[in-house]
Amino acid sequence: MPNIIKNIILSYNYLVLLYFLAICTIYLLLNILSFRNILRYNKKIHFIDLNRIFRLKNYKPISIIVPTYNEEMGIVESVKSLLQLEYPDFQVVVVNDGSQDNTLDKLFTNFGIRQVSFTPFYKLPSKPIGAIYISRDFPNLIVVDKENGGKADAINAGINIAKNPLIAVVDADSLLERDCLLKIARPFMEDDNVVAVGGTIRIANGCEIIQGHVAKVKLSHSWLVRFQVIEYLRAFLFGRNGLDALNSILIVSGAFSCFQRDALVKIGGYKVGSVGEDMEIIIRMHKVFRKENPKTKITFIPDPVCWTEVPATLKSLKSQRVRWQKGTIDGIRLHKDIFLNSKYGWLGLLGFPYYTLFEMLGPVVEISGYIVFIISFFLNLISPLFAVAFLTVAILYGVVLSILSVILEEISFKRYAKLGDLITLFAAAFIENFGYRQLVSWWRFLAIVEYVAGKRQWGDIEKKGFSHNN
Amino acid sequence: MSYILLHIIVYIIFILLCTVYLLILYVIDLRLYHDYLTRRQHKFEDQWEKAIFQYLQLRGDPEDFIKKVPSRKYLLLLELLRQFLLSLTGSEYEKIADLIKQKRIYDFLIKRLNSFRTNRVVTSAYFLGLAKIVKAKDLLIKKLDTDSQPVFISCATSLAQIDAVEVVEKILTRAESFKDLSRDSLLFILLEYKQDVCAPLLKLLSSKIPDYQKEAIVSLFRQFKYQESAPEVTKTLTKTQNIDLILECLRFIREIRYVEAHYVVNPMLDHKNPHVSVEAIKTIGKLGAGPLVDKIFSKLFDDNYEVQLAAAVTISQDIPSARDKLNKIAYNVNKERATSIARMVLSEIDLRRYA
Repeated sequence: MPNIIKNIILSYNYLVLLYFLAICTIYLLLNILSFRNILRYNKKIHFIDLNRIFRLKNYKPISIIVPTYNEEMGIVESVKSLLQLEYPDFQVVVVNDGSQDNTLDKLFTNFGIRQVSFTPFYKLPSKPIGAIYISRDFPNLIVVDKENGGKADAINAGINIAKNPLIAVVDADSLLERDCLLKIARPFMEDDNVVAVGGTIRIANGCEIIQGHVAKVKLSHSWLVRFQVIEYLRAFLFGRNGLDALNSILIVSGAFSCFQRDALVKIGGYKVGSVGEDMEIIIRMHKVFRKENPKTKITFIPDPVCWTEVPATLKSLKSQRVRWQKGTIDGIRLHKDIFLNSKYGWLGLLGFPYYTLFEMLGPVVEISGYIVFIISFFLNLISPLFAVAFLTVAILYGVVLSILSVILEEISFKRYAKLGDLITLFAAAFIENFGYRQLVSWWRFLAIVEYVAGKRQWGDIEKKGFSHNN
Repeated sequence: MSYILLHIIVYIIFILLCTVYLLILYVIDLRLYHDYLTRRQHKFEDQWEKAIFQYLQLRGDPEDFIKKVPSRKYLLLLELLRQFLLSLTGSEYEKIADLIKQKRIYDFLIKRLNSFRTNRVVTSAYFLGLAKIVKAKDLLIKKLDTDSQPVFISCATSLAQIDAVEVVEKILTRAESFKDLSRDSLLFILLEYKQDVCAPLLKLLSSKIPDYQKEAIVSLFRQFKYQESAPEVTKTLTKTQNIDLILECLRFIREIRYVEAHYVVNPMLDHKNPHVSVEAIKTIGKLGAGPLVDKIFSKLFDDNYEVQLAAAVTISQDIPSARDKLNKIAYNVNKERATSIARMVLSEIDLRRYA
């Protein structure tokens, strides 16, 4: 083999090593920031009864928008859970996005809704609204029936109907903690510069659900779900928390987020047709509002406030991860001018490059790294001992990160009550590094390939509904 | 070069392995200890709950009761009593509080209050406040000088529960030295006081204290509907530029319907901050719009959505004389935004009628 090829292969190995070191450093930094952030947050709200405080404060009423499409299995539980939330003044706006199943019938049967004449206020782009209904039993429940136009379109239709100054967007397959609105609205009241707040999402598969609320937190028996529990802990407790400390959050979860209504309207609502609308809207908000007011904040609350159903089969998980990866690429591609742009502060200098280099391009480097590594090994370019040692470090580092997130959960929120669950989580944090992570990287890599090839549409996610989980 | 690199990697592996091992061990240890304490508490509760019910029913002697409990189990007993104290009222509450007032338990709590460990001080202060043990007041006051925020909050809350009105000023002064102490925490402490705290707070409102403290004080006045403070709150409203404080003053004036404040509130309709305009509209609606009806009506055409909505809601709820005009606007196609909002508010009234 010519020397030049050998040198290229070796250099690529060193490049991957360098990339690995960079990612380690960033993660370490995020870990430190997250620990500090969570401890400060807990210190702030530990002693106070938010419900009591809110009744006295200048709270802002909230409209909760729930876009739904073919959610007949879980919609009733979801809406029941939403109606029981603790907040002095809120309305629930369920937007039926042209479901082909019995979603609307279920709402008719369970909440006694009836058609009313109602005039939408804003004119954000959305497909035509067929009818608007209100519940006889719950006057703060409004149901909007519209032509199918996708999630972003459904949210825009909801914004047009919603009247309150804060808009919470909740996925229909999510269950919220009773005090979640008190917690998510708090940053808006503390600081007028806050335009959006994201909540921490936890996994509901395996939990005991009573009357639309998570009554007992338990781990699922499926290892696939357990690995996702670890992923969620890592993403929310470390990733977003750390970036939040630098005001560099690029995404708040679509499962539960809250916005200033005026801010949403000003930027023209959600971008219809975007693959990852959750990320796109946040980046757009940073861009528009930071130009006007550099103090603009998009923040995040570390408290576990929202529980969601995650894919329980490899097929649906693959579909979800492919969609997420395409969404990341889409968001970054559309707003690439933020990359290393000091006008946006830490967001431009750290947050955006982090997402570009590690979240978007990570799978490319990882998969190509594995391939080149194996080639180097068979060509005797690196010693077997070195190969084994390097792989061990990479895996152990992953294990440490996962375990740190479990530890942070244990010392801060302690939601998994059984010791057995805790030990299983540690086991999952270890095992996921052997196969699962590589599989997810492979899917993300495929998503990049598909995106580059022009295949950018959404995949399907299998809906099970909470009532069937348990 | 690669030999050195290999060496470094092996060291890193060793460090990572040790870290993982120690971290897991630490957390499992913590959890085992926590589970052990929970089991111990449950066992104690199974054993003693019945005895407490008997003590309450038979009006037993608190001293005799406490004598039966081994001193090493006082903390378990306190935890059990906490549930009773939080759910009982009147003489039954007093009966349970009497148990905590017994010398043995009191001494136990005071010993912990003087501990260097934050958790011990916090739990001790919590129980002294929950049982309203007045004789612990001086010790709790001393603890206000702490540098620890949790200790400060717990001692200040206990003093408020004891209704130690004389230290409210000190609590506010000390609160300033805690950077992370939120407005909510301060308000939460003050809410534990009874209404007699309002008089000393009224004096403080006119003094030079930070705006967030004034805001908490006005919130408290609103909670107690403390009419006597209305002139001073109005004066505060005229002097301050702080938006949160302005909003709180307006809400107070609205809730107690202090008509004399009309002259201060009226100009705020045109305040540059839309939140202030919103509160001013709502307040004038409640105080009586009088000659300002047209002005409020004009706010239907404001640039800000919240201002428009407040105007429409106020007209529909509090200004009957302007409702016809609102109806007209609802069917006037030329004023698109105002039309939409008028229709929305009127539809809402219809919706409520349907419901």
